Amino acid sequence: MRKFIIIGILIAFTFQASAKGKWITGLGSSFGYNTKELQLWKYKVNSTHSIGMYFSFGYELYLGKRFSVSFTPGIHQHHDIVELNDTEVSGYSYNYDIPLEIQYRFLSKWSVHSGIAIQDYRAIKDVALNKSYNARLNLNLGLIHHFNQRWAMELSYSRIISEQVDSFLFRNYTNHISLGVLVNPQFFKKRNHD
Amino acid sequence: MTKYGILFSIFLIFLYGVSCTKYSVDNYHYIDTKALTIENIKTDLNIIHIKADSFLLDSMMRRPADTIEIDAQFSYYSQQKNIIKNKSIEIKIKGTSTVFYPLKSLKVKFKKKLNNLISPVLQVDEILPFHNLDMLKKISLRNSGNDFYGTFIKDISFTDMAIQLGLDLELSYHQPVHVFLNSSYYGLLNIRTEKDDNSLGKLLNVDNDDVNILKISHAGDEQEILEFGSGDEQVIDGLIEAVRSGNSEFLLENIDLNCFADYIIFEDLIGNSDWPYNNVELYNVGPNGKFRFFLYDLDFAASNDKHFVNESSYNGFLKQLYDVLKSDAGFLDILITRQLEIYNAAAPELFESIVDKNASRIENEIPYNMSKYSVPRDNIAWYYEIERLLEQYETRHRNFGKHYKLR
Repeated sequence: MRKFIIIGILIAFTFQASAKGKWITGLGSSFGYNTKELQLWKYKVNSTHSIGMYFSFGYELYLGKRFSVSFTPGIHQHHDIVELNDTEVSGYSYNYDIPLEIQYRFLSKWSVHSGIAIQDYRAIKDVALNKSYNARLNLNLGLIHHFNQRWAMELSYSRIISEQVDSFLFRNYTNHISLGVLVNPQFFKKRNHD
Repeated sequence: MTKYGILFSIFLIFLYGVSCTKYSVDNYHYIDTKALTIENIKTDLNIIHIKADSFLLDSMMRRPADTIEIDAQFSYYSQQKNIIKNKSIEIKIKGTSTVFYPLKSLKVKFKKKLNNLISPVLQVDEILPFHNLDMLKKISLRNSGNDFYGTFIKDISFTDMAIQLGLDLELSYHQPVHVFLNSSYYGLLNIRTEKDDNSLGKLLNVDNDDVNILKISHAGDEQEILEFGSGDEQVIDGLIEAVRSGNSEFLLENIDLNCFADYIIFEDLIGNSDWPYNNVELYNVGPNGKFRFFLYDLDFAASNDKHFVNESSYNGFLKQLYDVLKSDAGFLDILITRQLEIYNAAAPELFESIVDKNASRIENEIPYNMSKYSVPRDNIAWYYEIERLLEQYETRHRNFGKHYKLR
């Protein structure tokens, strides 16, 4: 816990000291899916997708005209309902996501980004279904359309690239597609100018 | 900007705090175990009914850590047919930390030995060629030990693999069974053959008075205690002294080298983390018989990432014995040959077929334990544990092959 606080404060002050950049918040929905068949012992899972939403908040630091680096930690919520052997299993998971990405603006209103993210699959209850404490590495790719300086829309894809150990089927959704809006929250800034 | 920084830090703490996963399983079929009787239980398994004085039985259950042994009557039912009726036994709770589990293991000692041919209590699919289950004196009704909250079949599945590999060692046979205590449903347990002098005598068809046993148990912090089990103490002391002094001539003469090689390799292959400073039993028969090994308590198998033979920091009795014997070229040759043979034969596919068979056998029976003890929590949790066991063994097998360059 302590190291997260320290990292957060350090990053915030580092960005604060930088000359060019902007704060970003993101909100959207995500869809998880699998390309492989999910199996638990001898039973096949008859549903292979999850739906959810995410919220992120972070900073984008400009590196020249076309490049920027962004650090936008967020929380992802996923809801899953699957059925196997006539038993319905439903669940919610709330995982934090810590991405570090490079963005390239190839046209005035379009940019692409790529990076990696650490995503947590921690569970609170120590029962069989929730025995997973993996922080996994995701590969992130995305496309952003900038409406103006403040608003943008993002379509992104992420995939778990680290080895999956000790994971239950819900966390086996290795692919996620997200669609959401990005906004530069300027309300604090406006208030400061008053 | 400072406000953003503070907000950002709070947000990170929030993320860490709220991340979690919660699941619920529907369509769970609850069984009213209080209403169960020997007559109405729907099962393909055999049933044991133990009758004892209620007060004594309650006392024994309420104080599981005390060694309380009580007289009881043993009845056995197969397909609702009464095979054994009111045979006199003594029972006690078995185990160390697992005695505090809601479903406790019981040790059953028949006052007069049981002819398993005439009254078949234990029927196994396969038996090692040098073993005999015709007569039984003691059995356990085991709650799967430390795997009680897991698959319920880990120990028996690794035991079955040892049988299918035809390993040259002794082990505990098994059969799942439902148990009633004083007409109340107690739980699904595994009948297991025992490893004391009496049971070894029956298993090997030798006089139990001739069986000399040495046990190695855990004393905490990976320290071990050598315990004299039974038989002639001088024979056991002679072995301990030979190992301590590195008497290779004595050990090469008095240790069954094929058995020792199979035992070490198999325990190492399956990655039993509750070994070798615990759960070790050596025995010999008579003053000059070769010492052999009994394989048991494999509930922590497939969970170890260490390797015994050339990486272990452990330097206890077994390692000392191993180090003395491996200086002999003949033993080293046995070890290298058997390691490759056992590794190749003990493929994850074989283990999967064994697990599949054992799990399928109790799939319709485990809901009785779920209903009475909420263990496992539900069938999905149990499937998950089985899947995890298969993954763990596959990983262990692959790592073992890489470590010893067998692939």
